[in-house]
Amino acid sequence: MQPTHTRLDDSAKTDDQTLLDVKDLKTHFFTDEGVVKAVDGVNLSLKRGETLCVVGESGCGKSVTARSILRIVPSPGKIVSGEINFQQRDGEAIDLAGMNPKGREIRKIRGGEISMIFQEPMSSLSPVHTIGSQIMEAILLHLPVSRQEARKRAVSMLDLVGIPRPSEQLDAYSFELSGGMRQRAMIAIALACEPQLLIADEPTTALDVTTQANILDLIRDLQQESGMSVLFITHDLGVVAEIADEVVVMYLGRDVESGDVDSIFHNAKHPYTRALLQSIPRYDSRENRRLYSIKGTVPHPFARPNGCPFHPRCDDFIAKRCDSIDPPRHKLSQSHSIRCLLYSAADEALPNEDMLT
Amino acid sequence: MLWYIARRIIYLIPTLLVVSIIAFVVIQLPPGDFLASLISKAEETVDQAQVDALRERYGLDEPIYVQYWKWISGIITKGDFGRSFEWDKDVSDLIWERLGLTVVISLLTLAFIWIVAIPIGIYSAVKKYTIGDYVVTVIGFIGLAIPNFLLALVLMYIAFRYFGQSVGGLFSPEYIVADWSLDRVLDLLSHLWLPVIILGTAGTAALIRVMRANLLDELSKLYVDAARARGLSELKLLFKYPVRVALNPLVSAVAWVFPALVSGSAITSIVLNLQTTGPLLYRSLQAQDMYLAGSLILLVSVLTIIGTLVSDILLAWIDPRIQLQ
Repeated sequence: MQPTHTRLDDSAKTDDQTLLDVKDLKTHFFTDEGVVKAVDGVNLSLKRGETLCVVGESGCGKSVTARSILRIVPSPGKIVSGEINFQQRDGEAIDLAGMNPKGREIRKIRGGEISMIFQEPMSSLSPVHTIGSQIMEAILLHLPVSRQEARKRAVSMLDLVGIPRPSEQLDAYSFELSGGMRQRAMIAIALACEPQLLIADEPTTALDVTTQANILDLIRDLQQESGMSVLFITHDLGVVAEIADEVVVMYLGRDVESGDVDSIFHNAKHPYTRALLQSIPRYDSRENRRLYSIKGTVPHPFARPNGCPFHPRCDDFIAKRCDSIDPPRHKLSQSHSIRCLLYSAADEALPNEDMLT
Repeated sequence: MLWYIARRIIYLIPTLLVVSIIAFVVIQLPPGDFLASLISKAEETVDQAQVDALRERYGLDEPIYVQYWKWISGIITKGDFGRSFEWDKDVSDLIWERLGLTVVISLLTLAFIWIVAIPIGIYSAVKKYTIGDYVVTVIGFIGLAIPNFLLALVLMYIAFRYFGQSVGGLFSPEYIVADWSLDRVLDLLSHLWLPVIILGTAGTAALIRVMRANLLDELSKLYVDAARARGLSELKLLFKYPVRVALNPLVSAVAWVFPALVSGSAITSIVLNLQTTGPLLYRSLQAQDMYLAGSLILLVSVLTIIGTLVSDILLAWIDPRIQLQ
């Protein structure tokens, strides 16, 4: 076992602006049928105050990545290797991947420094406890306050997230609130202790479109006020375009392309990213044609393709290369990296344009 | 809440009325009556005139609704449940002590079941598919599979053979007919553990399975992850959220514990020679002792209805999702 509290040596320390730095994270599920490599080498890095969006199809390991950071991966999942370097409030950097998932240290991080909101506000609140009891629980766990102070703070949190009549709603049960209000309550719980990082795992997927927009605005406003970082998981590229500073595109447990939001949307290189972008329905599309869809489906977790995991579905697939060589991570520019053999030839040259078009 | 309870109690009245009618009719359904079964069992011939006199005296020739009216009005106005033909005693003299003992045994058994089954069920769910879970599961299924009366015989043998304890019954011989005193209560307590364990075994085994299944459902819910993501420790988390929710179905099961223990454990009670209502009901049904049987069935029904009421009130209290309106 690794020590539970790993101090990083200076060489590994990234600049002060980096809050979270995930390096080659692998989280595997050891089932009776075999090992499911849900996350198999993810790299991502998030600066203070910024928003990082993780996108990808269902089953690409987005949620498991998020849960790995908080160390709440459900059994039989385990982090098998990699680093999750997190800059604590006191300035000390720690590796979350090395911590005991049931230990006191990670529990101080959870809710205190890193909070998480989930996809379904319907089921992420206890059905038999009041909203207030759950907010106050978070406050009392992490802040040295009395019950009255915690209650006051809970009311002001509900007010902050735009829940009307907050002191009354504090004693409401989750089933008495609408979906949007429940997600607001979840956000209030998550932000009650002013975390440095908010992980939002598809927080708007289960909500209707108007409510989605409200919740996104709320998260953005709160982020601007508090200066926290947001790790936002979604499969909605529209949302990404709206809120992201940085984007990581995941496929089969890997980051296939990552970069700032402009590089990803205007200069996407990876065939998967480009295919995703092509699959967005457009209201201004003049031709009356079918919506583009990526051929095939995400492979079965036990039937992981050799070489580049995307090659069976790739339009630019190079025979004998893509199906045998595992593409390394390759920097296209300071803020744009990719895992694709089209771009990372041995000569490191820029891609052959013929291959792309 | 008080209004809810009051309303539920008002609803009880028509329910009880219907139940009492059904109980009375059901008792009358088998052909013949107590006198007929008495005559058929009698060694010598019974004088017809004597039979007719008895029939007249107990009103057995009157129409059923008249008999019912006499019976029920007696219960309501005077607490008179009629007379037991077989015992030649007032029914109320026969049943109250037994009913009291039955309720005591039932409550103790219920407490025993919960105290044993809930922690084991929680352990079994949290440690699912471990050796401990399998051991508990196997023991649980054995407990479910062994009939209570068989377990009673085995335990009685062991207690008698190896511990020399007088087993069977709820009292030592010298206290059976004695008046209530501290010594008699202590004697009762020293005898209670065996029937409580025996009567509770099957229920415990079943409840372990129920608790395990309920809790497994809850453990995978998102609100558990959400609470964990707030930094709550595993143990506090477990008891504050999933266990709390998983207990709800158990509370609703309180309703059928009473009738099961009062009437369902008749055979075990006979084997153990317990002075509870089970064996009494059994014998009264055999003998067609109609007022005794009818009164017992009525009381069992009342207990069931009270059990339902108690469990509904408990549920409304612990589960805010239940609407009181």
